[in-house]
Amino acid sequence: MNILKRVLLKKINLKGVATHNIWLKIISLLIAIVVWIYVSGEITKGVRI
Amino acid sequence: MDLIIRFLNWKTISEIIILWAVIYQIFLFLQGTKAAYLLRGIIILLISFLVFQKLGLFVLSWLFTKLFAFFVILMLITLQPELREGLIRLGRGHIFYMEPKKEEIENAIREIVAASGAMARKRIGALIAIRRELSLKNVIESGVTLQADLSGELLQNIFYPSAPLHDGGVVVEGTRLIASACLFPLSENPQLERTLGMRHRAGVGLSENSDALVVIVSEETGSISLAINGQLTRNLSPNDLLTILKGQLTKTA
Repeated sequence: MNILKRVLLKKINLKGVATHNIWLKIISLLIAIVVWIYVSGEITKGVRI
Repeated sequence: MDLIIRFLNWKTISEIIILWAVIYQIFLFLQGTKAAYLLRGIIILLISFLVFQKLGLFVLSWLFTKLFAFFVILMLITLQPELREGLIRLGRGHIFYMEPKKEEIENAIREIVAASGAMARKRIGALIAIRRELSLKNVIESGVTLQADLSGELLQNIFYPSAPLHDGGVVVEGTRLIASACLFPLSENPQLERTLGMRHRAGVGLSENSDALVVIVSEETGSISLAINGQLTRNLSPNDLLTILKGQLTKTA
């Protein structure tokens, strides 16, 4: 059974997928943003030099 | 302003999403292992490094840069078992594993309690470990893998005297019975009663070495005990066991 069919048949709880490990997801997102800003800042600095 | 404009770029958003997915997977990969504590340490070190750089503390930044490579190698050696387990999990495609719902956990608890009650009445010894956060990989590897849906009948069948898998303990994760005939570490706590048999010592031992809950049914007395964090609560009725297990396992579900 493919994922779409399982979602339609409510075999996958989308709300559950979104809220499961919510803090881990938020922290990961924050770290991803910080890493991106830091790396892009470093790259830009390198280009200017 | 320049930064915000760059943020609105689709390339940036996709880069952040990919980064987020990778970081989230690393967290999941380490969750439930002792490596999670180490990861917290690494994050603190990285934040300190960034702060040192921003403040212009160059000597400390230089030291961090030099020590970081050494630290990564040390981490790879120390966490070799955890990394191996994580890679196996990746290979098995369990990345998108979803935790069971609260109702499913409650059903599993009822099955365990019903089986424990029935075995206590029949004076059949049983040792059931219920995993919480920390992995019980080493214990599981010492037994026979089952990966079966948990049911009271299956538990009773396993512990039936003279059944091939009745020696040792079983490991339950969520609604699954993962393994049976597992060897649990024995407790060396001198304060434990001398009358306690090996089954009780094994149950307490596992609860000392992990955060698992261990249900023990005595063969001699037909009493039900529960070991949590090295503490043994004895002579529980099935109703008491149900209340405690529900309280311990469904509060975060």
